[in-house]
Amino acid sequence: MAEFSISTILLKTGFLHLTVGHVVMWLIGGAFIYLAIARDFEPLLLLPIGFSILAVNLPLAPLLGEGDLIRIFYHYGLEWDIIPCIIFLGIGALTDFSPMIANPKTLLLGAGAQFGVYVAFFGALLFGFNLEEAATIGIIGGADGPTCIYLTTKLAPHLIGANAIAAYSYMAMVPLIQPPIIKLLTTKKERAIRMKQLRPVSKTERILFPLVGTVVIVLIVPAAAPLMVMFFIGNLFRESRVVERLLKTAQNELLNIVTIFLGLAVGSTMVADQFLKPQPIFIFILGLVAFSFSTVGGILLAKLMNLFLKEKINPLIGSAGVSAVPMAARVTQKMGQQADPKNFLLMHAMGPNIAGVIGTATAAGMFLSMLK
Amino acid sequence: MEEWNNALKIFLFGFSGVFIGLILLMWAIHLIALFVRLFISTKK
Repeated sequence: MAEFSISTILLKTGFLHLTVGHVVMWLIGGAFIYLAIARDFEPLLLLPIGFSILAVNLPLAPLLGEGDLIRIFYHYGLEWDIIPCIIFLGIGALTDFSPMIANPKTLLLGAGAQFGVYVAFFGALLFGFNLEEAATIGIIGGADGPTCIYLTTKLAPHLIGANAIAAYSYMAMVPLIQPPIIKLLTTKKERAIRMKQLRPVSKTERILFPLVGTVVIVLIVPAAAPLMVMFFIGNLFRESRVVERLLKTAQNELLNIVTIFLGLAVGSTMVADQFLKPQPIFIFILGLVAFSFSTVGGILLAKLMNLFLKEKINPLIGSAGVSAVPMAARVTQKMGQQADPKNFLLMHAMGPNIAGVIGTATAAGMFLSMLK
Repeated sequence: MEEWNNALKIFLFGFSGVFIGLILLMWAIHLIALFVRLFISTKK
């Protein structure tokens, strides 16, 4: 029979096991909850992440042990790759590829905007991270949360908390990060370039694209298949218009459910003794470098393309190759209108923006095929 | 040193792989558009 005494009961409470690290993590979790509620800063993710950080840093709470609740979310959701892939299904179901199909050369801008991925990759090596860790830090520059989480789970699962937070934080900060870089690299005259209205895209093209896209990308980078297959099937649900129920589920309920599990699972990786190290600070610095150079890569490639194109493209849309959809495209639209109030670039910017999603998943697949 | 050699290879193969993938996708879109123009639009 168990002994009952004040000391044994006290030992079974969390109070005697509390450390300064736990309290620091509560403050970090509290800061995320504050940012989500008071500042509306990526609330769908930061709220569950913040609460999960608080919960998993309560000593003795049976949440992360073998078979415990949040450990199960983490194991089946992230280690089994289910959550990032289902999020890609939802994104595919929400995405209209028409701007990219109407102007396919914007795909190049999506590739150019992966430049920051490789700059941060080398930067991470300089900071002492190994190749696998550096690859996951670099992919933050792709500005695609699910891809970043997918690659990190595969190559450096111990970095998932810091990488995911950096990726989503900088995605929310795109309207702050991009404008100074854009102004530095473009003239007002360039920002005012007007682009011809996009041609209408037929239903057949929109249906054929996800089929052809799957074949092309997966043949080149088989390692990107889980993400790309889900992305394109989600899009086929949308464009076929024959599976309305599946489409609505993928766009709404399923996406919302996995977002809850994603937040809880990512937050659960931020346990005091693993998280309170210099590494997350380096990751945040490198994440900013990655985002900035991705913006630079997109803009410079757009300017390079203008040397050869008869119909000039506005270099602002190059910055939208950073796949933070639709924030980067909105920045393009806003800055274009600041240069010329009658300039409408949003739809033009959606092309590279979507291409950036495919580009980042391809870059992640390339890392996987070479490092795993 | 070997790590940096590998990093350089990853950069070269990785970045060019991204470009090759998206350029092929760009051509595929042009082919789809051509296919639709030749075989579908004309049937109307």
